Amino acid sequence: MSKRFYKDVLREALIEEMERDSNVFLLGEDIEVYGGAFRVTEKLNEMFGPMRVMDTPISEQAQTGIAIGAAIAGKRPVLEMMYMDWIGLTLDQMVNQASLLHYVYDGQVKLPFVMRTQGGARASASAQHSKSLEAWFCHIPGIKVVSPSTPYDAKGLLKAAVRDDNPVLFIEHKLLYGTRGEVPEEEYILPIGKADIKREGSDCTVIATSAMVLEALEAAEELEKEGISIEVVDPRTLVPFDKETVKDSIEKTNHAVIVHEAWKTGGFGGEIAAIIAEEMFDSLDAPVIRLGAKDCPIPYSPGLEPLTVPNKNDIIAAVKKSLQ
Amino acid sequence: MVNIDLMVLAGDYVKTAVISEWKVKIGDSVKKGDVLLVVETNKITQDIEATCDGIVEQILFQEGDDVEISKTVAIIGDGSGFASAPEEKKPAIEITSSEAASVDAGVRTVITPVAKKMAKEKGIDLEELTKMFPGKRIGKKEVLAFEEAPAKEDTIIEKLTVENTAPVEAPAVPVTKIPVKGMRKAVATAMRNSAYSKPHVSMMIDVQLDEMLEMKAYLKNKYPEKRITLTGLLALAVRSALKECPYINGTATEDTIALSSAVNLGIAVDVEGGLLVPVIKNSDAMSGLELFESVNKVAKGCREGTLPPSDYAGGTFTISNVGATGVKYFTPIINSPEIAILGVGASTKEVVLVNEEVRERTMIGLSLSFDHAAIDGSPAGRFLKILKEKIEHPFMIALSL
Repeated sequence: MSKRFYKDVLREALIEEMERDSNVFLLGEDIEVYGGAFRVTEKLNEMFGPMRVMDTPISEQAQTGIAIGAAIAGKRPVLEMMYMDWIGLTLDQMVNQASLLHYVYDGQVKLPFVMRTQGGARASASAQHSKSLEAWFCHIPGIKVVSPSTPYDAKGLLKAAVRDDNPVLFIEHKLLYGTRGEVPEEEYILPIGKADIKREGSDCTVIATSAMVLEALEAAEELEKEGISIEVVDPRTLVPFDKETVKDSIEKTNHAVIVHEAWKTGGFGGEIAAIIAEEMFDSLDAPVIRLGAKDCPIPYSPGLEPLTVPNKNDIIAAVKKSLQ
Repeated sequence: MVNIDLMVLAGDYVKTAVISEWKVKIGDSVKKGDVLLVVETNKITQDIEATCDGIVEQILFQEGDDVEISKTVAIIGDGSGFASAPEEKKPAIEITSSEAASVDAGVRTVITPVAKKMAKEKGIDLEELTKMFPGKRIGKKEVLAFEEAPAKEDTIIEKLTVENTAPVEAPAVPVTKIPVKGMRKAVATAMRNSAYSKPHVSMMIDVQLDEMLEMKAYLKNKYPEKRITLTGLLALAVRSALKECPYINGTATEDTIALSSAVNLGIAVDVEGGLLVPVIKNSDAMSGLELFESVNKVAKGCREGTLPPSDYAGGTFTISNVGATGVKYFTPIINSPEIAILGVGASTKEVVLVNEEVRERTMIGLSLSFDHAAIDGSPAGRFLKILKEKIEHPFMIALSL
């Protein structure tokens, strides 16, 4: 085991998969010569050549269509969607093609297609580069949605996504690329659809996604000093969603706080809250609390931006409110 | 505005009552103390009175309804909302029903889902739970607190008993459990009723028995065919003392002390599984020999179970003899509703001073328990003194009426 950067282990996962299977290839904006906006594909063109690491024009719909066609033809494309904010341009391809083709062709085609993208705020990246739009895709059956928070999860889940025969939206986070964590030297794969308990606790379950897992862990440290023990559950995969882990946790703590960076209204937290209400009602000792971004554009201003998305203090306050 | 509920019925596990009759209708003027309605519980029928002067603005339940006693059944106010037209019920109902709804909303208790579930699993009554935390949201914490609270006395006793008989760490000791029923149950109930309703005082006295034993020997010699017992002789002395102290011969209840002109003497008899007290009726009308015979007869009949139930009733004083056990003094429980009971203990040979000389004497211990609600210590003591004299000098028996 050694401490590795999130961005480096993603790159390593791609290398390993490309070496393992010659059908795996990469495409996206500025991934070839430039090495990717977040340096995940750095120098991969030198290793695998322009036929397997392809720069594309700035046309998200075209990129997605190409990837879908290649997948139907037997390739395993990994498309880098530089910012999640632009993913709306891919919607028709994703919603009317990628998610449906296996079904409408009665299983005759497979869609082993990964769309890597990154979202999230707090980098002063402005209103058009800071969104978290995972809920759009969670709504569509036929697309898996993965959202790792640690280097270990990122590598293990990206390799699983590449090997999966379904379209997978793989959501990274711009602030996580520079985080480090323990990653084994040997090869490993993590199952898609299995949540991870990032910290065990007994008083309140905090279900946090992506970079919010880090905020929740910091909140846990501070709450522990006050004698409050929180359990941090990282779903890791939003679709399919691991209800069992959440259920076990809430049966233990009887309290739930859900936190994500996406806007609260219509965010996936609402879905989680609804699952809890429907299937774990008898375990609740307090109403479920959701934390999400305020329903406004994410500001560029470094002074304003932190006020729009949840942070550890919001989590601490929410936990205390739940335990009141 | 005053809400009328049925909380006067609270206690004795009464939770609901059925409205049997409304004595008033909406719009009626009532004075404090007027009967508004009549309700029935499984135990009693009760009038519910107005707690203030005013006008009946609302009646919330109908005759025949089974109502929780905490619920508002009527509202008495100044009638301002419909005073001009009390016959028009509609506006009155509209006004007051919204108020009733707000009253209900005010008392609604929130119990969280997990608290409900835990309460169910632990067999905790939600009503008890909410009573312990009035006006509070009931969550997991409250359920756990409720569970830990030493809520009821009998629970504590139960726990103590369990701890005493089977310490947690000790290996389980086989316990014989005997259901309390039949004669045991009857004795238990009688003893409890007496012990908890009569304030008992017990007095003990030592009595020289030698002369009575001489008398017994003499009689045995004279009537070899008769069974002359000490109990019989003591009964004779007791009967005589009772005639001189009529205040202790009879029964006492909360309202009445009934002194009897006859001495109906109860004799406590040990039988298998319990204790019986057959009664020798009109013992004072018997000759001494008849009394001896009666004592023997009832004791025998009692052991054989041949006495009719009427022979166990109507006592005015009881004698209980534990002398055979070696016990000299005890605090007998009165055979309620009687006023007193004499406990006869063992007799022992003791050294006593008689006219400044040391003598050996046979001493018997007598214990008198009396109902202090009916008589006081001084007359009770006087009775013992007279009895003592009659036993120590049996010829004194001849002097009584």
